This record gives sequence, C-alpha cells and structure tokens, in this order.
Amino acid sequence: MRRTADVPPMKVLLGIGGSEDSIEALRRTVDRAQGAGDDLTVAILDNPESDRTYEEIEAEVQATLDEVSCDADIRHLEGDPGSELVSAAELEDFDEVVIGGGQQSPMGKIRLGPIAEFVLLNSHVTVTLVR
Amino acid sequence: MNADRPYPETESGPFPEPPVEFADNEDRPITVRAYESDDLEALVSMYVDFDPADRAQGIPPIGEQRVRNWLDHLLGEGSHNVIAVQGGDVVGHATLVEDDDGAYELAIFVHQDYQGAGIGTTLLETLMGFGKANGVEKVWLTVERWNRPAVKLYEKVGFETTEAESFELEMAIRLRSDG
Repeated sequence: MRRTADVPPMKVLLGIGGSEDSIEALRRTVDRAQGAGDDLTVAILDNPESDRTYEEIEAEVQATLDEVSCDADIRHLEGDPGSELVSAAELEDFDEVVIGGGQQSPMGKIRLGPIAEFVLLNSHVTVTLVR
Repeated sequence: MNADRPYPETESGPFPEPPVEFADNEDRPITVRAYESDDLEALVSMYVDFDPADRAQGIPPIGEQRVRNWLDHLLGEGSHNVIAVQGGDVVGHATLVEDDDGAYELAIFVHQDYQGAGIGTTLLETLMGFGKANGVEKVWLTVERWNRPAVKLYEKVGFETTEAESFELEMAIRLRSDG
C-alpha cells in the first residue's frame, strides 16, 4: 500500500446508510485510505430515510473498493444506525469515524441528517464529516 | 426535507403585495418590490458585503463567484423573489425556491446595517403576498433554534413549528388551499 505522507495509518470506520452524502463520503474515504494506508472498515447502516436497499449499497461499496483495489472489511450494522456506529467505533478502538456531512436543501442550506447529528453528539472517537 | 411535513390547515394572511413603501424604524425610506433582472448587481453587492457572522446553514456563500452561482439558482424559473431597496442599494432579500414536492423553501436576509429596523417583517409579509398571488400554496423553512428573534417573526406571520427534534427547527405555513 502506498503512503503519501509520513504519518501513521489510522483505523477508520466509515458508516454508510445509502443517502447521497454517504455515497460521496465512501468515495472520498476510499481514496484517502489508499493514499494514507489506513485500515478501513465500511459499516452499512439501516437508514430508514434511504431509497437504496442493503444489497444496492453493498454492491456500490464493493465496486468503489474494487475500482482502486482497496481491501476493506464490509459489515452490516443492524439496528439504530447512529448508536450502532458509535458503539462499534468505541468498542473496537477505531481512530476515526467517517460519515456523510449533510445534504443541501433546495435553497442551498446545509442540513445535517439524523445519523450525523447523533454521531456528532455522542461519539468519543474523532468524527469526520465529508462535504 | 420532509415530504410528509404537516402544513397548517388554514390559510394565513392577508398579506401585502409588492410594491410596498414605508419608513423603517430609523426613518429611512424603504421600498419592498419584486426582484427584476436589472437588480442583479445591487443584490450581488449586498451579499458580497454580508457579515459572515449572520450566515445561516452555509448561506449566503462567501466570495463573489459563489454568491453569483448561488443567486443564479435562486433567481431561476420557479422561484419568487422580493427585495428591500433604499436609494440605489439592495438592503434585504427574501426568496421562495420550489422543492421536489411542489412546496417552497423560504429564506430571508437583511444587510447588517439595516437589521432591527422592522424591514424583515415587511419583507417577509410582502414575500408571502407575492407568493400567494403567484399561486404558491405551501412554504417551509429551517431556522437555528437559538435564533429566537427569527422564530418569533416567523410565528407572527403565521408559521407553525413542524419539526423540533434536530439542530434546526422546521416551520411551515399555508398560503392557499386550492389546487
């Protein structure tokens, strides 16, 4: 795995529920993980607001990983998406949680989704919001 | 954005329609009127000079090119815009932008030199009248929950809180019941 900077790789947990901003977060995190040599785990969440099924999200994740030959674990976190993601991050000593950073309203206002809100307010692990 | 948002059943109003002329609380003569394409440069100037501390949820954007791109979207087909003008300057702007469900999202901005002078109230009421005259039925907005003056203004005009569980309050109003 190639390294672009002399910083230690991180153990990163990406949460993806299928919303547009989470798909964008996936692409950017996979690219960054490749560059930095991060140890990436992708957690597929049950997001009731998403139009994508679990299978569709999984296929999207696999395709994105395959594109850049990134080797990441994919797992399904069942139950409440925000709390399951935060629990997994803390119990398994991840260095960072990455999630989509919000969508834009018709007006162009940034709106934080309920999962991002929960994770931001509850996580003891560093959170990155991808915009 | 919540397509199942509960709108009030009864119509709010009546509201004034543009143009509306009045003196603000500091006796400055203000005209609230419909936006016309000739007003673009004055509107861009207001936003380029806008205090970043008064931004809400990332708008207005910062920098002239970003402001222009954003306004391009707001001033397009299917939107309704009114401005508050003093002399040759645009000092306030309120807009309705159509969402995917045929309702309209509202935003209102008053330049920092003209805040607290009663301009926002007339600007907002006149936008409601303008929207209603143009067939707009349902309007919604989000506002940061700590922004009590704004929430009170929206309530005074007829907005009701429809969702209070996240960082921002969501509020909605009904202008018409037909269609």
